[in-house]
Amino acid sequence: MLSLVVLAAVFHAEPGWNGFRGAGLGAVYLEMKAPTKWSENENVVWKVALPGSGSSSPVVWEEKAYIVCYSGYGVEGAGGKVADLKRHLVALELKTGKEVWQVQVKGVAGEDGYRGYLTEHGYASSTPAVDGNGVYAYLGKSGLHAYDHGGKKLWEADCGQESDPRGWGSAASPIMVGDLVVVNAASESRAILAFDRKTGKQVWKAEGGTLALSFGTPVLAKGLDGVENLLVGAPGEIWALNPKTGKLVWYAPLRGRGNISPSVVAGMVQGESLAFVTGGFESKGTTALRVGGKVEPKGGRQAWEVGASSYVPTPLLHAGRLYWVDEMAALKVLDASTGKVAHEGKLPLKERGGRSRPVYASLVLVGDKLYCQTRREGVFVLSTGEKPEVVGQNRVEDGGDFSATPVPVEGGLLLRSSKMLYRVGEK
Amino acid sequence: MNQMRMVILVAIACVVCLNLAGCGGGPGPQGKGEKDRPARPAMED
Repeated sequence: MLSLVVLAAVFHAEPGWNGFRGAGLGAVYLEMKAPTKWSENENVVWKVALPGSGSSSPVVWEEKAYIVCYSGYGVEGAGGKVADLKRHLVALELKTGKEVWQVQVKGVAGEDGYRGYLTEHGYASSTPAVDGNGVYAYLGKSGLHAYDHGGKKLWEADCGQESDPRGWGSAASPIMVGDLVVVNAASESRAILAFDRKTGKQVWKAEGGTLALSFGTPVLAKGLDGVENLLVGAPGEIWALNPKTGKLVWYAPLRGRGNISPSVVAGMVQGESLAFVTGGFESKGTTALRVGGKVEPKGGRQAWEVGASSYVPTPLLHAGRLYWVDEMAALKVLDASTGKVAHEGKLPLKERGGRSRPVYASLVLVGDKLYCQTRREGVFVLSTGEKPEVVGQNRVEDGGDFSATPVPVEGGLLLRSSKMLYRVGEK
Repeated sequence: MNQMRMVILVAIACVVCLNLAGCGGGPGPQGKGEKDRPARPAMED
């Protein structure tokens, strides 16, 4: 979902898919394998009904998968009373899909009504983060909740109860940075908040009115000078925060003045440490910036800028190329060192789009294949390279909506719809 | 008649554009307001 991400993070790698787009791994899993073919009757290891809807991805830690859902209000347009809204954090056995434990957290007074973009993504859009201590679930106005792997509550932290100016609800995912877990609480308090992973104590708060429509997940990157940046996309600009203090190290304007924050990806390209910022509405464009300390890097902060962009799905950086399939199913491949568009294509969808866009999930690279989850027409499998080819289209259908990025697990993928969770893989 | 048709077309266009922009939501409860906040966090020394 609407979000930002880094992938650089060779210095931030933790095992497995432990946060949004695999946290520091940037949705690139070259050592893993997933099938290129599956259907209702083929290569489905298990499927389980979820206790509620949602568009976030699960995360994986050792033998468990964790996922957040919501119920009681605004489920599949069913209406209900906002006072009945509940969010669920569910732990599942990775091998079987069997539920191990579940906690439910009631919504708060002042939850945003089920309208506008909330009808597209719902109330459980933030992918949890997980580490050896436990799992951290950002539940919007209900705050950040930490549980150990046995389901025992560790702490919860208030992140504010405000609303963004459009009432679209929050969607960013918590990320782990050193001993901290960091949340983009732009909707709830116009701030990026950092909490101690073990105690839940707030360590810093970076507040700014410019965050009013910032929906992306912050991303960690390191400059060639060794300075770490916590990159935050805000409408019309990008911020580089000191991840230890929340103070602003530098910021830079972006192409246009979009009313929604863009997505961020970062990584090393031809000896440079770059952040790629794309998206926003209505501005169109992608900007590459050199990350690092406040002293402007050699060559300037901006490396390049082009008009191509992805509004919702986050790009994927691999081997010097920036790939994305945007919300209208348009495929683009850019040379990450120059921004030159190397290839443009379109997924062969039957759906034509419109308000209800056909793709919200981001690409994931498993082995040598790109996997693109569409909302209602299955997962496309593509080759990598300058001109990716579609090598498969695989569906499991339950009448739900697939907006979550697929999660690589041993020998396969976890696929999340608004109704079910599936594990596909060769049995 | 032509004016009426124009008004209807403009109204339809507005609805379509707003929907494409995903602007169907309404403002929810807000706190101290954007003007009462700094635009950005404090700069590092």
